[in-house]
Amino acid sequence: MPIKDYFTDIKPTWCPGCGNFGIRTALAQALDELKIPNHKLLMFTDVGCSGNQSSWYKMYTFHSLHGRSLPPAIGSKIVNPELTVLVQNGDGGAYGEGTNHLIHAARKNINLIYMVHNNQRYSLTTGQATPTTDEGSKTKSTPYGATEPPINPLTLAIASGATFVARGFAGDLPHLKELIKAAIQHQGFALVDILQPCVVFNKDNTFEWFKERVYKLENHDTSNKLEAFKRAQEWNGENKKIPLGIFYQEQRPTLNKDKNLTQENIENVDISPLIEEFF
Amino acid sequence: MQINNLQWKIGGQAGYGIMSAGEIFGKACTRAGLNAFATNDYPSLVRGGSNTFTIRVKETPFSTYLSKTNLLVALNKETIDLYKHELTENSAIIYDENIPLEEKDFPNINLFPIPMEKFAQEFGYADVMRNTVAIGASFGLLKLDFQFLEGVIKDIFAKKPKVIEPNISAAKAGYDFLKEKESHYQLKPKQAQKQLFISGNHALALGSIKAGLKFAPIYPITPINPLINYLALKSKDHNFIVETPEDEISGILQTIGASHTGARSMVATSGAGFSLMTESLALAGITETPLVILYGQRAGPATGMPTKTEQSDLLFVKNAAHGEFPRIIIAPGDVQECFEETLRAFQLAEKYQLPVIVLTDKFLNESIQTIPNLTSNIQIKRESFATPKQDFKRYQFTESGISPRSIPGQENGFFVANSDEHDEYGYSTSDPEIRTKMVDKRFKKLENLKLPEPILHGNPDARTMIISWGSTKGAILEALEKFDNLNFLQLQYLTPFPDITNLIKNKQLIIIENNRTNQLAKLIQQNTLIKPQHLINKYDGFQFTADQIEEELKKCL
Ligand SMILES: Cc1ncc(C[n+]2csc(CCOP(=O)(O)OP(=O)(O)O)c2C)c(N)n1
Ligand code: SF4
Repeated sequence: MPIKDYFTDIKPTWCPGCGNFGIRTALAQALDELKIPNHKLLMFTDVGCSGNQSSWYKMYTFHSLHGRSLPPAIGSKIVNPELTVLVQNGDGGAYGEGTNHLIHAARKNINLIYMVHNNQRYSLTTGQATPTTDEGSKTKSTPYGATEPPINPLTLAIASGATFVARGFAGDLPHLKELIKAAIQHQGFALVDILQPCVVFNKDNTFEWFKERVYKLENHDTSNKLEAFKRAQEWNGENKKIPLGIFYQEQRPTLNKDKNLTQENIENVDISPLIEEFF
Repeated sequence: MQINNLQWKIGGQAGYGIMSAGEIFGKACTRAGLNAFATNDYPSLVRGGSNTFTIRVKETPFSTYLSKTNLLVALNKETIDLYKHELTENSAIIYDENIPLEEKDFPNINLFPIPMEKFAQEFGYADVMRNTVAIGASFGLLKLDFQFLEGVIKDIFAKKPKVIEPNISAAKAGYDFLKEKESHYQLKPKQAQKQLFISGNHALALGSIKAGLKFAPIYPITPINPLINYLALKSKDHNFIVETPEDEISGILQTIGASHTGARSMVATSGAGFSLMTESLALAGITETPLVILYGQRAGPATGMPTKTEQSDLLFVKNAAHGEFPRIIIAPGDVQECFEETLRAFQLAEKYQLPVIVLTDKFLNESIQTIPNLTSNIQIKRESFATPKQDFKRYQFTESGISPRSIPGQENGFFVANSDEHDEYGYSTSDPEIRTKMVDKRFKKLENLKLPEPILHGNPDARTMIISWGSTKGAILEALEKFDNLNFLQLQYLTPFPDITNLIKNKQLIIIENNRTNQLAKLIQQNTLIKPQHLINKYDGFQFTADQIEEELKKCL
């Protein structure tokens, strides 16, 4: 189906040129190629620029609280494993307010895809520094330059037990689309951290800046955890390079039960054998 | 001689099986056709410190305890030091012979040193069987046929057959040791219908299972730990999932997500956890997602006294979370009500698509009581679901305020469950007109809500009226028997607040609460403009006993 059929008629309120547009397109292309019908799709977003997109998709969407797209998604997926659960979050919410949820969703290996729109800023609140802001970056909240080292979402996810860890770039849609497809097809928790230039509040990590630095992982053994750790630590180092692609993938049982619990008849649950124990 | 009316208390250090001793004693009495009420007290420790279980036994149904004890069973010296002041005339202490006691320090009290440790060692499990010897000795002294205790031991240890025989032998050794001794207090079996001996936590859990529970992501906290453990144990056979989330925020949000997806789900917590949940409570409010929260209060603030009881969170629960949205708060007064109100909570949450909080406290959650059975006329059925056609309006403006609901996976049912204000489809909006209509729509649901009337106990024409809520019920009912010109209005539904003006005007009002700041009294005054004349409070970590309430009432009357 044409990708516009995944979208409502509501016009996105993102700034012209925002990296979020590309991510949205790549996602719709991936869904189209995987031929998942709209009504089997359940998308969770949080609160932020990326979160605002909940009204712009023709599918079940849930606009959760800031940093908290994952927990309701986990609840949904556990009771109805037949749904494809897509979770989107800003980096501020994902790696700040909601970090705990990421660690445990990874550990429990919940079968869903977590797409983080990583613009290294709290953009909806006018561009303060997030946990992924580069050291030295001047932002609204760090007018003299950020003094703390950024969090590394990829090594964090690998260490937490995520079974699919990847990085994409909003400026390379064919590649991003393939990553999203692979993540959806993966059985287990998939983190896709997506470099998403914010054209308004991030003058450091721009499309051009990334284009000069990104390259695709090749001849990389995605089943090698140590190697994955190593590659995931490359970020604009001496060679000024930033790798994209799947860093790590493994098959491990997911927390999900295979049963859809939402359709069961609950009208005549018999608790008499349970009560019997109290006589 | 006093037959079938006594209070028994067992105490010892944590790890000595005091908790199971209470259960065994009460269950044996229940099987003997008597009524028992058992309440525990323990510090926030796993080993050491003193644990107690206090069990009252009577012939007729009741649900409270007293400040006086007739038979104290001490596994350590500390128990005697702490509770000897509770002992009445003609009472007795059964204690381990290793504890040195001087007869002269205990005038009018019968001392029964018994070889608890020795017997326990003799039959194999010294640490965990002193309690069995002690219960056996208690029933020997009280002259209750040994068969009741033997039967309970067999059932309780059914899953560990190896320990059945040693426990029965240890109990019998204790029993025989005291069976010839004279006792002022005795228990005689009565022919009666089989009855349950069950705690508030178990009644809440069974209510949720009966209501069709499918998912419960619950983070541990006193006083709902036994509820989690019981649900987890039964989840496999009864086809629901119990998960431990990383924190309470995740717990409530997972519940909301699962409920949104169409599975009956609930979360349970206490004040500390609920504090973390408040932002998400608002999310359930604005997305109109059915949400059941079982909330067992304990003594705050902050960590407070985490294993003690209090009713100090009523106004917090009523006002928790930012913004305005409807909610329902139900406060069961006893174990049977815990069961029934949990069923009601699930039905209301689903029909009206809002948060329903069942507000109990440590005293009610953890106390165990004899009741005839768990019963209810509430019909369990799915409510308010739609068969969506094209152009589905999940948040349609309707006369009742209740909009049809689709669930993810249903064709043509797309909508946004939106933490932002939204239009009838769920799409974000800040249009002032739609905003106003949507807030009104949500609140309209309460206008049509029908909840049962408050319960008036006692003489309806009495000039003086007690009003209270929650687990004070049992103590108030018992105290009420001593007064003619007094009745008791029990409020089970606290939000929305019932219309009680006509019931209470022209009455002398006495409000009884297990808190310091008279939270119910404030609500009454706010809703009826009537100022209660008398306030009875307690906030020492324990619920009122019947005699304490009687004393307090005398001061008011
Ligand atoms: C609990 C809570 N704290 C703060 C906010 C305010 N808030 C709204 S959006 C936002 C920043 C979002 O940043 P990010 O997650 O990086 O997403 P972006 O806007 O950059 O897409 C914040 C802090 C909120 N809505 N809720
Ligand atoms: S502020 Fe930045 S992230 Fe937000 S919409 Fe504009 S460009 Fe995109």
